[in-house]
Amino acid sequence: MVLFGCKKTIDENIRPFNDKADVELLSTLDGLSSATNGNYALLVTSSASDASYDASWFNLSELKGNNLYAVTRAFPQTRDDAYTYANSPSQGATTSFWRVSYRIISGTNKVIDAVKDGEDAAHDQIKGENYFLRALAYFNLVRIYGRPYYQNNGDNPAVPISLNSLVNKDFQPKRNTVKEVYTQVISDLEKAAALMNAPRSGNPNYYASKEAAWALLSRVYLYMGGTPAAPQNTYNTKAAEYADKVISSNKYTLITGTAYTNAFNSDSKTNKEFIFDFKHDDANGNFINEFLAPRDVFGNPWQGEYTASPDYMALLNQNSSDLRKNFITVENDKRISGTDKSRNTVNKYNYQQIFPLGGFDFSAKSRSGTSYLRLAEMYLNKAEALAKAGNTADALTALNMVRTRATAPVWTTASLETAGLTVFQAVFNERRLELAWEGNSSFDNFRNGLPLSRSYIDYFFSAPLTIQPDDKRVVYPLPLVEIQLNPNLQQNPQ
Amino acid sequence: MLRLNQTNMNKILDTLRVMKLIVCLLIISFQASAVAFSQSITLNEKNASLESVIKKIELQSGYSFFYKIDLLRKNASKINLSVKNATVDQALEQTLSKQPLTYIIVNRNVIIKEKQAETGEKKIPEVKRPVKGRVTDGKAPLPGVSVRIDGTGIATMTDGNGNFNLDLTPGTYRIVFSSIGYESKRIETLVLNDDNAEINVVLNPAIAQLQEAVVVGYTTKKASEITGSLQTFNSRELEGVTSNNLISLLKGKIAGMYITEPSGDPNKKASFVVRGQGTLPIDAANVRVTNNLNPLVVIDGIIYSDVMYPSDIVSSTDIETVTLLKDAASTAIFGSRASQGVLVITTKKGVAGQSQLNINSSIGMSQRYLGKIQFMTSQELYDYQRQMLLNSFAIKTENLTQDAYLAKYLPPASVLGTNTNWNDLLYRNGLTKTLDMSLSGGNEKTRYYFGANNYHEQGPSKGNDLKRNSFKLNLDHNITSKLSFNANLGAIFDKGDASQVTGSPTLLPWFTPDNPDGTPKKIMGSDVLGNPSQNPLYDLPYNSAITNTQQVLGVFSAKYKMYDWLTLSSNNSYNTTFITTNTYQDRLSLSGAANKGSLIQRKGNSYSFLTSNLLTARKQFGLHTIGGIGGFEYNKGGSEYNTLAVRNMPTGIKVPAAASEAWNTLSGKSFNGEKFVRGSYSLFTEGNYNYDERYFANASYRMDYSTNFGIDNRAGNFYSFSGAWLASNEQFLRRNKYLSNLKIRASYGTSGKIAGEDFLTESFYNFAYQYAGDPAAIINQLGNRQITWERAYVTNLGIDLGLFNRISVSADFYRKHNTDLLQKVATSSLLGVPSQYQNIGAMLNRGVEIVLNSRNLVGKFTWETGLNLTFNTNKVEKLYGGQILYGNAGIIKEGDNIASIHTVKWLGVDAQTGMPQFERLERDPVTNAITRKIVNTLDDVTKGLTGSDVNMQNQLIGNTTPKFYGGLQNTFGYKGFELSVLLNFAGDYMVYNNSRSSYFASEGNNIIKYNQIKPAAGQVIWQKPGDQATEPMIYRNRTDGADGTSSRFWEDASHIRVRNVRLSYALPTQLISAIKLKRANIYVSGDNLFIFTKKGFYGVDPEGGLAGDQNNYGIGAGYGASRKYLLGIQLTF
Repeated sequence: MVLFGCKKTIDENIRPFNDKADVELLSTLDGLSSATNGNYALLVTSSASDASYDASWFNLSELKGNNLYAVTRAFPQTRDDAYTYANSPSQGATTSFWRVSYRIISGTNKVIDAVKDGEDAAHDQIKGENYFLRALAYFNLVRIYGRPYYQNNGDNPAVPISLNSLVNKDFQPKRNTVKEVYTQVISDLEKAAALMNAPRSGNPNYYASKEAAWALLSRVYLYMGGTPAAPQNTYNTKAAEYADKVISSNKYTLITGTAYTNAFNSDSKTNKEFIFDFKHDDANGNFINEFLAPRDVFGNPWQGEYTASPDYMALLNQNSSDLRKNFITVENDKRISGTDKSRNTVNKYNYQQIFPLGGFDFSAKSRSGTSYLRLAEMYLNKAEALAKAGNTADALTALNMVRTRATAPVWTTASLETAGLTVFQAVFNERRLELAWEGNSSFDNFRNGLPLSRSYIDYFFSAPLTIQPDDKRVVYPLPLVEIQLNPNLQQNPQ
Repeated sequence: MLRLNQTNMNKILDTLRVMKLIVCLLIISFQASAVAFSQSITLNEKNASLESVIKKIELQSGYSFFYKIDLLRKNASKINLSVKNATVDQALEQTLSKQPLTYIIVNRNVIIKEKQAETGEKKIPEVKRPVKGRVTDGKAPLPGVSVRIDGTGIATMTDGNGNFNLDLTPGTYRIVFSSIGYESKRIETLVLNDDNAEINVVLNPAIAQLQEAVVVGYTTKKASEITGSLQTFNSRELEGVTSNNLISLLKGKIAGMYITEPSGDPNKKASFVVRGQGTLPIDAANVRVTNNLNPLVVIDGIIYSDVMYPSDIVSSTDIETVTLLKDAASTAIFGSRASQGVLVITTKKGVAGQSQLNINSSIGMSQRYLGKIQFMTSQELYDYQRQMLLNSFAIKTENLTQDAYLAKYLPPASVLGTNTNWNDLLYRNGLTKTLDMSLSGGNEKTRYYFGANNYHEQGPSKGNDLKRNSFKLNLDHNITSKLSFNANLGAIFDKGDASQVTGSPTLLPWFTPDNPDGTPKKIMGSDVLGNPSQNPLYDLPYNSAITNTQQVLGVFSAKYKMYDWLTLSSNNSYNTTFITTNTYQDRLSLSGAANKGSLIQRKGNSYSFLTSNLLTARKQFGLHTIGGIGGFEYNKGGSEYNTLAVRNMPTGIKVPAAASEAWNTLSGKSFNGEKFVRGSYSLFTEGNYNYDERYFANASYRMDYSTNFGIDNRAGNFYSFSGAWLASNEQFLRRNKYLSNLKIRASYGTSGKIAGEDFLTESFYNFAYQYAGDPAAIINQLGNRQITWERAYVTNLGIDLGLFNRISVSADFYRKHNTDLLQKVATSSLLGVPSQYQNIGAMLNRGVEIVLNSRNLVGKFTWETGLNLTFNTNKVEKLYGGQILYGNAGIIKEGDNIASIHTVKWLGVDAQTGMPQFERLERDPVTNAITRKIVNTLDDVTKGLTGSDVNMQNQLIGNTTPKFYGGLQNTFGYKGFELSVLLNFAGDYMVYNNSRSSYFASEGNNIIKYNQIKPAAGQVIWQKPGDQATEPMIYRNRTDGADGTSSRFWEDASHIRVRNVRLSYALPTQLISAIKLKRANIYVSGDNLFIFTKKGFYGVDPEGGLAGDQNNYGIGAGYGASRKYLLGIQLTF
């Protein structure tokens, strides 16, 4: 009797206080909401062994582009791996990025499986948000590990698709193709857009919404839209359509003037242009400044290994009144080898550096949000899609919305001709100017069949670098440890 | 085919006869003496018949008696006899002393027979002369000592003052003195017709005390019955070192427990490992799993599974005995928590009789011990810097003339007018005070012990302080002769200030902390490179880091003796601890200025309830003794804490309400808190058997059922078997003059180690996350339904040897195989969590423990020696992925010692250039042959290499834990004086002297920044070509990695420490009895007086890093164990 009582107590009555079992948590709306917040939190939370998703994402996306210039070797050196196209399967950011991506996917699978369809608007909204986050994770994965969509008609290997919340150790799927992943992303986003009908109060831009799903659909279709030489206009039309849906929702505005020049170094909550961003706060700071800002909170030189590239500055300086110049500070950096030690520090994200935790941690994290989808991109998506489809007039209208806002002269057919640019080239340059350091540069080149070229030399390269879109280094290797744990994963050629 | 010849047949018949005899004897003895186990005889007879007295002795002793009944019945003597707790031998001696009878004892059989007829000459009556004498233990008189004339029946006993009287006819006699717990002594004496001199005899405590009781956890056993491996200390044996921490008291005395005290902070407790590390490091980021290497603590029969250090729960002044159980024979009964050994502690209890008041007090000081280190004076440092700058100038002139260069980098000569000894300013002579009192006494029905203790130790580092007050009340009450009750209540209050001065003695000697007007400076100045130095003493009056601990403990037990052989007992305990830590930085202090004053307050509470119910049986059937226990336990415990952080506070008001802002320093928040709970129940049993005190067998089993483990694997089973042969009780050795004890022990069994926090079995959402200010839950644990205990399989062989009644030696050989060690194992990310805890690793520890005690001199001048020595080797047998990264020790692979150190090899200095030399291993890609090359920079060691070729450069250079360690204690006594000297030693291990790169730098800029130490003997700095130097040329801006991590700074830490020297004097009884004192001792004591180190050791203290902690170095220039001098007094009323 006594023994039975003890056993029962131990098995049933003694439960943990700090944690909750999955089945228990996901049985209530509030629990589902916490679990969903957890999936958002994974976008910005670093754990002991994994860098935070936003930091890995910046590392793997932006550093492959040509908007940055390496001043010195980074510390830790893994931060150079993408920039130098070394693409190490063990030393780079690939392991953290892969792991956290699939944690997000598993987290969303849990919630999606737990919510029955059509329960009520609140449940639908939660389910829709998880569809959105899952699509976001897969879309970023397919961009990092899968070759551009136009190549081999999307039949190249991408990443394995996992949609079930009850996987076990025997789950060892093969890589799905690029096309299959895109199809999954579109399917998730369409469900997301349909389900999210009870937006969170105040329409916060750091939670997913119907418009965010449309905006991401616009980008996904744009990536499927082929190269200017061989456009896939069914997709380009879709890209423009979804961009228009976002624009015409009238929920977002292009911020102008000084509000714009401070848009990224102020609380992202108030940013009227953001459709979706990752929110950072004291607990989950934005690591981007560790790449870009060359000093710690005490003002001592520390990290900040990258500045705006000379190429980028040349493009930006074409127009002296461009508001986007305000994102750059010219200063001195002793670490630059050579006589000219001036650097173009990107201060775009320098909002409230977080006081180092524990007193003496040389970190320069900020509270700036990670911009993921914003209205300016919608105009640029539309412009690019229309330009590829040959609709020059409407393309220019969309493009000039962004030009005007940055107080740059509008492009006209005439001025383009004078400058010797096609509409596509103008849109392409504008995209680079406007969306710099938001993780687009290398993808925009490669998906359009263009090489990524850096016409400058820096700490690492003694000759200008050019990477062709069919170079094997365009995509990242899969993490070695994941291949060991799942032998069905086939490594990218290195 | 079996063919029997006549000889064989006879043998078989003989055997059968013997067997028959044994069976008969068994039956007889069963009937004759099926009584409770008791050997001591207590009789109080007046005018009793001889027959009745003998029968009583027979009954009480449990021995079988053989005699002709007529011998007793015809004897008309009336016996007057009073003995208490006497042996059979003593009782019979006295009973029969004046009778024409004698006796012999063979194997617990007593045969009584007539005395041989005496010879004619002796029949002539002679005049008897009185012989007087006194028996003491060297300090106090011994009452109740049996005094017997060898070869006769003449005997008596000493009275309460140790005096005895005998009437003897003149002649030569051998007198035998014997008493329980003391060695018997024979002296020859000549009785004359004149007045005889008083015979004064000192009896020595017996060292091979086979009859002594040893508490082994759930049971108490006679030492002779022990089959496992253990070591016991009583409170007197713990005397010596002054500390409030029991573990520190054991250092140098205990075998098989590696104790290390890498800090002089009295708030930091010694860490300890029993028989080698048997668990693997767990990722510190996961708080669910702890790396506890400490043994399980059991006090008065209660398991305290959540208590890390015994001093957390019991004051060392209340401890009566401490026993360390080492092998599975003793620990398996404690099951899943015992694989690191068990420390069994009993606390003091009252004894029936006159009440007794003890007062012990001591006062003294603690000093910083600096070892061989000598810092430079201003002049010396100035000259040293100059030399370094000349070297640097020769390498790179910076387009300056030599004078200009020196002017730029040397401080102005005016600094030579100041010479601050920073060591003297930062450290102090700390005060240590102890006062403890105990009052005990009672009667047969109720006994009490009350203890109170006050301990105050100031660390040598200014601001560092520990105060402890503790109280203990232990009440025993016999409700009936069968039912007794015990209440054991304790409370401990600790207040520790962990704050220390922030600077180190490496501050430049020309800085001063105060302005000329006596006010403290904030910034003392800058070195020539422009690095400012804050005043390390400035914050001292403002800031504090105080931890208050309140520990309350209650144990209520009842014992019911159902039969003489069967006892039912129930122990119920509840203990709770409150800990509050306030870390305060004042707005006026340097460190608190940025936050305008800040406070972090952490409050925690933990509790544990345990009910332990036992059935204990013990019965003797003739030569057979059978005993056993059966028990059931239920335990529930938990803990809770919360922390808050605030800032912007007025000066000196150290409460949160005074703050105006929350301070987001706790992972981005200004608060945090968690709560844990766990439960378990257990069933256990043990059986033991001994035959004739010669052959012993023991078996135990325990089942633990706990929330700690996988839902499919919640019950763990542990068992042990052990046996011993007490050869010295065999007939052929029993009368051996030289061999007083010989015992051989063997055991095998299992025990376990729990993983730390619970519920690793389930997949959990954890809530310690947030997104955009909203609560968030993330799956942070992938459940493992099979997760289970780490297991230890321990084999032990032991031998105990007693020689000449003076020397005792114990040796134990063990093999401890730890399997199922928990490791974090990577899982495919597709499962949602990148890793999972699994039982993977395995480790093997093997070793030898030797304990030797010897009484070299007895008599007026006494000299005793105790020596213990432990050898341990460790081998990691299995690891997830074949290797782990183990902090500073580098990569540990299967087959390595867990404490092995892998680093780049330093090959000294190039005599021609003064450049450092490192070893680079190159592998031929074809033949795989390794060639060794000398390179001059650390970077060149790995240049151009990848993968395993890089790892290979980290070569095995030694271990961080000693291959052997031990202690040597010598105690000398003369009259009331006693001098004891305790040395402890550890050999063949290394510590990393991480201070050398700053205070004995090769990098010139560090020589500019920090004060340097003078080169020790054997350290030669290169100055010119041809110098056979050990240290490279010193210069500025070096990039060769001379001060980087290589084997250069790993130093041989083998050492002998003068752990304690204590001289005490017991005031003569005559003197003190006048003021009703029973005992008065005065002593002076010194701790950590000196450390003998090897030539290659250049740090302050060679004490190793925390046991099992791969990230902590030893002590380079840091804060080592303090040197203490104390004066004390011990009074008993």
